[in-house]
Amino acid sequence: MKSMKQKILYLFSTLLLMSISVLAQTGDGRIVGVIIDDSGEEPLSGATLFIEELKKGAVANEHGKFSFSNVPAATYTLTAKFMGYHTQTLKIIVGKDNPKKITIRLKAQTQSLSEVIVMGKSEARKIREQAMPVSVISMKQLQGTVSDVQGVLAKTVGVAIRSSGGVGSTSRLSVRGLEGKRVGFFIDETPLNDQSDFIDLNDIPTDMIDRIEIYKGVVPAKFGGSSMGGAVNIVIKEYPSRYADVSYTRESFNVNKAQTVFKRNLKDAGVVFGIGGTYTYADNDYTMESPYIKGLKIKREHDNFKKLVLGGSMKAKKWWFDEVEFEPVFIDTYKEVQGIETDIRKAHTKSRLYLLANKLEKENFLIEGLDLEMNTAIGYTQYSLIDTAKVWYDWNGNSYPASSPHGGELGTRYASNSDNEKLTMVNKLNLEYLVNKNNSFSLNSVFTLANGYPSDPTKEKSIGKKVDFNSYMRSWVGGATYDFRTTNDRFLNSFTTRLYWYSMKTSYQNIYINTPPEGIKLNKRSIGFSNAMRYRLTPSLMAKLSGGYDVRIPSENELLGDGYTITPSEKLLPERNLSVNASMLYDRTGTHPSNLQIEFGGYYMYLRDMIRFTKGILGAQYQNFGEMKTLGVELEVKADIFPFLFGYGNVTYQDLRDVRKYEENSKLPNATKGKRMPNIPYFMANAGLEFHKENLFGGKGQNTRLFTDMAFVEEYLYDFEITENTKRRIPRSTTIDIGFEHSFMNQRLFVSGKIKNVTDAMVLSEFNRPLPGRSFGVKLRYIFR
Amino acid sequence: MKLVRKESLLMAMTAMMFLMASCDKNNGDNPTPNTPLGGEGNILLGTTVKNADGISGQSYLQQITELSGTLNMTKGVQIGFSGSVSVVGNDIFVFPEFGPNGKQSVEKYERSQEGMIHAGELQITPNSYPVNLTQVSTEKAYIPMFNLGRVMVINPKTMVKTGEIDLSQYAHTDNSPDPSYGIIRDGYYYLPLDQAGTNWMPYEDYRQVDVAVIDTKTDKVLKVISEKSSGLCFPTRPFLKDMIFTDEQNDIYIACAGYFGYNPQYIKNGFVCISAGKQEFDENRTWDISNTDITGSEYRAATVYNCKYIGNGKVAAYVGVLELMGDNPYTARNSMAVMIDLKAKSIEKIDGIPYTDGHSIAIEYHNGEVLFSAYGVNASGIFAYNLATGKVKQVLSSSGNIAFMHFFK
Repeated sequence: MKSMKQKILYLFSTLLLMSISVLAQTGDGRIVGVIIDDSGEEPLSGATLFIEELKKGAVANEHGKFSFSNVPAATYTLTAKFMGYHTQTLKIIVGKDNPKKITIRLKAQTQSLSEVIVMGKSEARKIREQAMPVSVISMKQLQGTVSDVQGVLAKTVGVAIRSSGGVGSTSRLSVRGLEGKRVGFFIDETPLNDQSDFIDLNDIPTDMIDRIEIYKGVVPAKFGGSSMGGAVNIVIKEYPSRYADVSYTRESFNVNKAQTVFKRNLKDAGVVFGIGGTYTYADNDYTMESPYIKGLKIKREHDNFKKLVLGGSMKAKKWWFDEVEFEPVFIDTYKEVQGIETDIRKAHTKSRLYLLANKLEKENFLIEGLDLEMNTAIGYTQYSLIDTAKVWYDWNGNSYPASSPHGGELGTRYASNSDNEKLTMVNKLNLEYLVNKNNSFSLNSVFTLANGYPSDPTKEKSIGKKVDFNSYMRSWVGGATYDFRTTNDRFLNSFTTRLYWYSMKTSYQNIYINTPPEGIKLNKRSIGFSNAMRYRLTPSLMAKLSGGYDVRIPSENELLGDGYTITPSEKLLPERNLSVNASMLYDRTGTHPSNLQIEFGGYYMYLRDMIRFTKGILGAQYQNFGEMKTLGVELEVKADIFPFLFGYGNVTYQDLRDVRKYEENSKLPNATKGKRMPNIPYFMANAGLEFHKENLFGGKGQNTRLFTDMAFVEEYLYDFEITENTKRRIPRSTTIDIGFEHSFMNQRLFVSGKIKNVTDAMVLSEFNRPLPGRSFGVKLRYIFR
Repeated sequence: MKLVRKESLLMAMTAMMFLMASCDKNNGDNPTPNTPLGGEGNILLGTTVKNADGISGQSYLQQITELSGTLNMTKGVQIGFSGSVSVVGNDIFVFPEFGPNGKQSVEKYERSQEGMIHAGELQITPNSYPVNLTQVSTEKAYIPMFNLGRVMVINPKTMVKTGEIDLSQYAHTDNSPDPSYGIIRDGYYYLPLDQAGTNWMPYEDYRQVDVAVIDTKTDKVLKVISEKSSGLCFPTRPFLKDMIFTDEQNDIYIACAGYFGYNPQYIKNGFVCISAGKQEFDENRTWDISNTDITGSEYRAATVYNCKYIGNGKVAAYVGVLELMGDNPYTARNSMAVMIDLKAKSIEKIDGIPYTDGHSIAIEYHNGEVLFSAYGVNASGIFAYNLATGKVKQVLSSSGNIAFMHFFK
C-alpha cells in the first residue's frame, strides 16, 4: 500500500515537473526559465524574480526569460512578481548537475469593469494590513457613486471636507480635526502640497482613480515630508493596452464637466503613452439666503469658475529602470469672487500652473535587495488677484466708491492687480533594502524648494509701499525606517525616525511705518520619530498600534501669506504632535462572500504650537495656537449585505480640546482651557447602500447600480463655548444623495444621474457660507477598448 | 443565521440613516424673545477672549452686581470681536465688529437690573463700520460710519434710519475721512475725522486734526475745522467715548492718538482744544504730550490709547510706551496708566496698575474711584485708583480682557 502511494506521488511529481518545463538551457547550479501570462502565453518582460535564501534577484528579458547562475544545490523559495499579476512563490529544488528549468505562469489580477486591472488580494486590502492607521477607498466604492473626489473622501471615517461654496470654491480637508497644509496630498505618492492652492482634489476624475489611501495619525515614512494628522494618496489606475474614455457631466447651476483619457501601451517597446484632460465650466448660480439680511435671497451671479487640466504621461518599463515615468501637466483656472457680505461684481483670480513630474523605480538598484523609488516634480505657477473695481455694491443695488482711489471691492481698503510667480521643486527619494524576509531598512528624503516672486504695482500704489517680497524657502526631511516582519507575517513593526530642516529668506515690511524692509532669514531643525505595529490574531482579525512624535514644517504659504489676503507670519514655529493610535480590523475581503470589514479605532493626540488660520480686522493669517489635546474614536463597517447590495456606515467622534494652562506670555489662567476647539466638527456619521444587478431590465451586457449616501455632521461652534449664549454656530446637517448608474454594451457606455441633498437641507460652512441646496446631475461616459 | 445577521446589519444601517434624517436642532441663534440675557446687575462689562494673534477672538457683554471676585462669563451675550458699545440711559447699542466680516446690523438692548432684552436692530450698509452712537434727542442720534465717510441719522427709539450726512468730500486722498467719535455742544455735533490711510494710520502728508462741525437741527455740515500747526493727528478713537470731552468751562478737548506708537519716527500725540463759544481750534491750548516727562516713569507717551476726564483739569489715561511695543502690537503690554493734568501740563504714572495690552484699556470714574481695566502679566481685571488716597487695588479679576465698563444708576 505504501509503495503504491509512493509511486503515485512520484508519478505526480514527475508530471508536475514536466508540465512546468518548457525551456531547456544548459549549465551547472543554475536556474533558468521563462515567465509568461497565464492566459495569453504572453512573455512578461520586466517581471522580477527573487530567491529569498540567496537574496538574489533577476529581471525577465523581452522574451520573458531569466536565469540565476552559481546556485548551490538546495531547496529555494523563488518569488515572481509583475505589476497587475498575482505574485507567485514557489519552492525549487536545485540539483548539483543539471540546470533547473522552470516556466512560471502568472495569473492576472481580477478585472473589474473589464477596463482596469485591480489587484487580486486587492491592493486595498494589503494597504489596510499595514501597521499604520489607514482607510482605503477602493474602486468598488468609487464606482458606487457619481461624486467627485471630495464627495468620496467626505464619506470616510475621520475625514471632514468643508467647502465654502459651489464647484471650484475653496475647501478644507481635515483628518482627525487637523486640516490644511498638514494633511499631505499625494498623487501616486508624488507630494503636491506646494501646489495644493492650484491643484484641487477634484481635478482628478474619479474614473481615473484606482483607489484613495487615507493615512491617519502616523503617516508611512515612504511618503516623506512632514505630513501630520494624515495624508491622502490618490492612486491612478493602470490601463490596458489601448484605452479611451470620454465623459460629459452636466449638473444644476450650469455646471459642466468634460473629461477624457487616452492610453496606448506599446507592449513591445514597454512604453505606455497617455493623454487626458478635463474642462470644467460652472456658473454656480445657486440661490442662497443671506446670513446678514433676514429673508434676503441672493442669486450668486459672480461665482463663475473655469478650469482646464491637461495632462500627459509616458511610462517606460524596459529601460534600465524598472519604471520611468514623465508626466507634464498644465492647469489654467479662472475664478470669480462671489460676495456674501457685499455684491462683488468684478473681483476674480486666475492662475496657470505648468508641472513636470518624473518617477523612477528600480528594484535591486546597484546591489541586490535594494529598491529605489524617486519622484520629482517641478512646477511654475503664475497667479493673480484682480480687484480694481472703482465702486462696490450692497445687496440693495446701491453703489459706493471704493475705499482706495485705485479701487477694490473686497473690503481690504486697497486695490490689487497682482502678477505673482512661484517656482517649486520637490524631490522624494526612497531607498529600501531588504535584508532578509524579516528585516528591511529604508531611507527617505524629501527636498522642497519654493521661490515666490510676487508683483502687484496696484497694491503698492494703494498702500503707498511695497509689502510683498520675493521669498526663497528650502526644506528637507530625511527619514530612516526599520521594518520587522515575522516569518509567518503575524507581526509587523515599523520604526521611523526623521530629521526636519527648513530655511527661509525674504523681507518684511511693517505696513504701519516707512522704514526700510527688514531681511528675514530662518533656519530651523527638528527631529521626530514614530513606531507602528500590527499583529494578526487570526487570518481575518488584526490589531494595530502606532505612536509617534511628528513635526510639521510650516508651509511657505503659512509663513508668507498668499499674496492675496493672508498676511505673512514669518515667526511661525513648526507644529509638533505626539500621537497614539490603536485599532482592531476584522477583514473578510476576498475570504467570505460578505467581504465584511469592521474597523474600530481610538487615538490620542497632543499637538503643540498648532498652526491655526485666523481672520482678523487687518486680514487673515496663520498663527501658532499653543497646545491642543484630541481623543477620538472611529468605527467603520462595510459589507456586501447581499450579493446585490453593498452597505457601509461609519461614525467619528473627535474631541479636540484646548489644554493651554496660561494665556500667552503671562501667568494668567487660560480662559478657554478645557474648551472644545472651535470651528472643527466633532461628531460625524456616514452611511450608504448600493444596489447593483446585471440586466435588471432585461437585455444583455447591462449593469445597473442604485445608491444612496447620507452624511451627518452634528452642530458645532465657530467659537469657543464660553457662554450659554454662543451665537456663531454651524448648524447640524444631514444630507442625503441618491443616484443611479446604468451601463450598456458590456461596460462601455455609462449613463448616470444623481440628486445631491435630496431634502434640500440648508447647509452652512463656517457660520456664514451657505452651500448649495438640492442639485441634479447627469453623466454620459463611453469607453473605447 | 447568516441571513439574520445580514438583515440586522441592513436594518441597523437603514435605521441610522432615518435617525440622522429625522434629527433637527435649533441653532440657538434666536433666543426666546423678552428673555433677559446677560445676567443681573447694574454694572455692564464687555470682555474679549482673544486669540494668540490679538487680532481675532470673541467678545461678550454682561451685567454684574458688584466688582469683586473673579468674573464668570457664562451669562455673557456674544457680540462681534471687540464690538463697541454705546449706552444711553438704559438703552444699550451694540455695534458689529470692525472689518468686512462683521454683522450687518446695530443691535439695541433695553436693560434693567434683571438683564438685557433685545429691543431692535438696525440694518447697516456692509463694510461701513459704524462704531458709536451720539444721541441728539430721544428721537434722534448720529452714527458715524468710519469706512463709508457718512453719518447715519437714526431714531434710536424705533431703530429706523431717518437721514444721512455725507462727509466723503472732506476725505484726504481716499473716499472716507474716517469719521470717529463726536460730541454735541450748543446744538452742534463736533465730529473728529481720523483721515486714516489704507493701513489705518494717518497719511504722512496729512498730519493734522480735522473736525466736522454739523448743525444738529439741519444735519448740514457747517464747516470742517483743522489744527495744522502741532502735527497732532488721529483725533479720538472711534470706539472710545471719552477721548472727546468737555470740561467745566465747556471747552472741548480731543485726545489725538497719532500713530498709536507703531511708528517710532513719529510719536506726536496729545490734546487739542476748541474753547467754549468758539468753533475753531485754540492752538495755544494744543498740547503734544510726547515731549513731557512722566513722573514716576522712565518712559514718555508715544500715544494716548484712552482717557477719561475726571474734573478739575485731571484726565485719567492709558498712554502707549514705544519701548514696550514688542513683536506683536496687538498683544504687547505697552499701555501705562497715568494721570494727566491739563492745566499744569504734567503727567504722573499711577503705580499699582499693571501694564496692559490694547484690548483692556477701559477707564471709568465711579464713586470717587477711577477704575482701570488691565490685562497684565500676573493679574488681569479691574483696578481701582482711589483719588483721595492715591492707592490702587484690584477689585475684579478676569481671565479675559475687560474692554468696556459702564455703571448704571
